[in-house]
Amino acid sequence: MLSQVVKDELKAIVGEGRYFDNEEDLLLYSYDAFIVQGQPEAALLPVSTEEVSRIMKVASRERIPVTARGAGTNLAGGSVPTRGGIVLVFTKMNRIIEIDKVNRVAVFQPGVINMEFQKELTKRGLYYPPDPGSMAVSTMGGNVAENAGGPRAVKYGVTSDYLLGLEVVLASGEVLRTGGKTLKNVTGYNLTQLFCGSEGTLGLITEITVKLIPLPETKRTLQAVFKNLSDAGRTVARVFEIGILPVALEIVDKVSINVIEDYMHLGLPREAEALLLIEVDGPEAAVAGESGRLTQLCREMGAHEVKVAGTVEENDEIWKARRSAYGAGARLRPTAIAEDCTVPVGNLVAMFQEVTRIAEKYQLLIPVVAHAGDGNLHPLILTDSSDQEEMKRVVKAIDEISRKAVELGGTLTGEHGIGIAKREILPFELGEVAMEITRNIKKTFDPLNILNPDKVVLIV
Amino acid sequence: MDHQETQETKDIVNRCNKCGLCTSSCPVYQQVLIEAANPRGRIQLVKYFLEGKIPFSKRFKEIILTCLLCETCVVNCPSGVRHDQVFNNLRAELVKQYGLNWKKRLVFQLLTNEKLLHSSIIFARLGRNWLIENLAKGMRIGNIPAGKLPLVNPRPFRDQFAGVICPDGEPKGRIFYFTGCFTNYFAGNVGQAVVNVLKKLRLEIEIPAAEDCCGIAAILSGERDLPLKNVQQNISTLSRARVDAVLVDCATCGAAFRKEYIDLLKRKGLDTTQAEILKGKTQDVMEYVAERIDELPLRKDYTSEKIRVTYHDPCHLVRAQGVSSAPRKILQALPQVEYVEMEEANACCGGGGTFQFDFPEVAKGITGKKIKRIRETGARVVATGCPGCRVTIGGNMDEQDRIAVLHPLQLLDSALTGKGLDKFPFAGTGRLC
Ligand SMILES: Cc1cc2nc3c(=O)[nH]c(=O)nc-3n(C[C@H](O)[C@H](O)[C@H](O)COP(=O)(O)OP(=O)(O)OC[C@H]3O[C@@H](n4cnc5c(N)ncnc54)[C@H](O)[C@@H]3O)c2cc1C
Repeated sequence: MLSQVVKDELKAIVGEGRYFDNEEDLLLYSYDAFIVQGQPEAALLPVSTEEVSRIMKVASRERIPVTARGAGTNLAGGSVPTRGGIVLVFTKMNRIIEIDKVNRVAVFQPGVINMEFQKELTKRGLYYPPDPGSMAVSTMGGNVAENAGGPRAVKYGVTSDYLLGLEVVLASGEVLRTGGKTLKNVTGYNLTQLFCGSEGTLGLITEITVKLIPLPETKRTLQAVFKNLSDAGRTVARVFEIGILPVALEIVDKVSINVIEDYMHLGLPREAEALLLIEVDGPEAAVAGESGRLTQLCREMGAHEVKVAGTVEENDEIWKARRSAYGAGARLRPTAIAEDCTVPVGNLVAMFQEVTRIAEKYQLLIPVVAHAGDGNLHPLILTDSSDQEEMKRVVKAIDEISRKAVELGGTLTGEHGIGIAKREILPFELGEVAMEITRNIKKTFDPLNILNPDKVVLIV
Repeated sequence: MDHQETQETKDIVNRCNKCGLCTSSCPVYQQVLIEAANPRGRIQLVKYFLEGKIPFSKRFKEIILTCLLCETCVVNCPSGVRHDQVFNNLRAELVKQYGLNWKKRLVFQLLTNEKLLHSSIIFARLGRNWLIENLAKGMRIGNIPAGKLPLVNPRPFRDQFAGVICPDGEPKGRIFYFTGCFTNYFAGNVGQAVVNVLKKLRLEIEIPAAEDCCGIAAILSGERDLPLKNVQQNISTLSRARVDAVLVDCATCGAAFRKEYIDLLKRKGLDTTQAEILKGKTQDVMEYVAERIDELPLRKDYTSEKIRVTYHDPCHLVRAQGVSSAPRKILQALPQVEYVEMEEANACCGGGGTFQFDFPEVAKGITGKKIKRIRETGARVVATGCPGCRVTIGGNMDEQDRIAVLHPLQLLDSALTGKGLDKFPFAGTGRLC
């Protein structure tokens, strides 16, 4: 329990309007997009590194648990303050400090929204490719802390591929600076990347430096309809073999197609086993050439219908089906849990088949969409968190899906993170040696175990 | 809340997956950046309330009311959560438990009693206009300087017409023109423009004598009993008329006829057959005119420099009624107009009925952003189909702003008469309307 004296001290750091300890506002910081909850004892919204540092000094002195929070859209319980204490909300710390055209880098605070950042860059002909599905709302701090990725990862990689430097407030309140504005930097251990994907368990990110690239001239999307999922899977591999590196390669499975069609009526072919979406970008001539070759390839591989967008609007039209998958599913049942298993691209079809088998085994409705180009599947488990019997089956199904992914040479999570959702199963993939090192890293940075305790790795 | 309302609210909040995709779209959230202003947050809080975890506290009330009802969250929700219905139910509950504050109560009582409204506005005209022009000059109503508030029409617009207005030439059809309170009492010039255009379309125009305030201001404040009489009266007058269409020049009246009336009647367990007829007949006047724009004798001999015009989408048109292309089609057809689209044209202007008076600080930021978007276009005129938006946007403009705030049909009317579009006064300096 926070004493009134400590509460007053914390409130004095940020001031009225950026400090809450009333029941209503605390409840409002007790959840994220996952299904667990935990209520903090105080919510603080700092706007500067100095404020964060002062808060952490109090927290470490008083041993108060501190949970960082961006937009609260993560799908693993990462920003839920399970042990009460302080929730540190970065939404008001949202200044873009610099967009440096000469050095092709940008420096900004963690509360900047991915999409807002993208808009500023587009005006300047620059590009920061990572595009999580939540990009319209999620913060860059949250993106770094989760190492977020999106459809464009096939060609452009994920958050970590653009991260050059960080400013981090440590548990003690000390300020650590890593990396910088240079594209190359091998001075010392790569501490920058250590924080990328650390889910608020090692330090609080207060400033971010990323590299930028030129905005591609144009892009084009294709949609191919396959009767057999395995043909779509083989096509994914063939795309690279014929020497094309697309921006995105997405698969929408049969269950998803039908769920989307039920609600959107887009005219999708219900009997098809897979929709394959391919996007290419670059100079107009290259894009035209590649989309022609891809159309031919899809036909050769058994697609019975291939559509190529002619305009930006038609690009969007094609993406509509893929983008509606989450919502269409979420409308069907009260709870939708987005899974995130990832396998080597060659095992993509095998993993799809495993999910189908597991869904049947546990009598669950699980539409699947996949960032097929990087082997990242999102089985969307549709359920009702108030139905205890069904939730037992859900837990078992998730566990089995995760284990299968690892057995197929893949990983538990491609982009959503461990948080609370996967912490129990983490040792299954990491093994004891890696677990021990992970625990030691956590203890080095956070000896008092006050930074987002209970997440990722459990310290006893 | 009665059983039905509670159940409805529960069903809606249970649909929320807490994904947060509504966050960035909310104009209030963008200003304050706290979860209490996040549509997701409000929905969660209602859920806690229904579960008995929190009482109807002062903070809870404030959180529920700090909402523009702009419905942007509804449009952006992948799970189909109807936030607006939840918040409306909560507002109604608030009114039931605590009553409306006396100022709102007074205004709604006036609005729901047309005779009283009519006479008191006429009576108040001299006094009020004098008051506003003299005493209240330095005062502000919300963020709007009192000196800029619209003056009362010299004569209520509807009083000028008795019976049916004849068209210019052989009649092609007959329509009902529902003027709404704002045109009737304040914006007679908009009403005149509408009548001129409809006459040119060779329509017989009926302006119903027994027209009552649409009642939406009261309904959206949670007062669901007071306006019922108006609602039923309007439905019965307008649905029975033998006309091709019922046209409105006000986004809010349109939203009432097409959406809120049916919701309200259903809630009260009343028959909706006539309301459905009214819904089917109602069109915004811009939609009706846009479909027939080719029939209008637009002057092609226009030679002077074109003026730049941009359009703002009112919440009650773009989201409540799905109207967005019609006004643009009209503006783009005008030979004198160089149409430019502003960024985020469909973002709320921050008016939100009484929101701007209840939460002036938050509203100021939202309206400021809208005005910035308008300024960026370099437009001489911002047109919009909602009197509330016109007052909000115009009222918040600075003296330096060389921008007029108009209804699109005022521009169209000028194009038909050949009057220069540069004659309209700037909102920054002049009085609104
Ligand atoms: C509909 C939907 C679609 C999504 N699509 C994708 C997708 O395509 N790809 C993807 O990768 N993810 C996706 N996500 C997951 C989520 O949006 C991302 O993980 C995102 O990066 C989280 O950002 P946030 O601002 O919401 O952070 P939060 O959820 O608030 O926090 C995430 C984690 O980061 C920590 N954290 C936040 N800020 C800081 C900081 N400043 N310093 C230190 N730690 C911090 C928190 O403690 C927490 O552990 C999706 C989520 C939803 C709801």
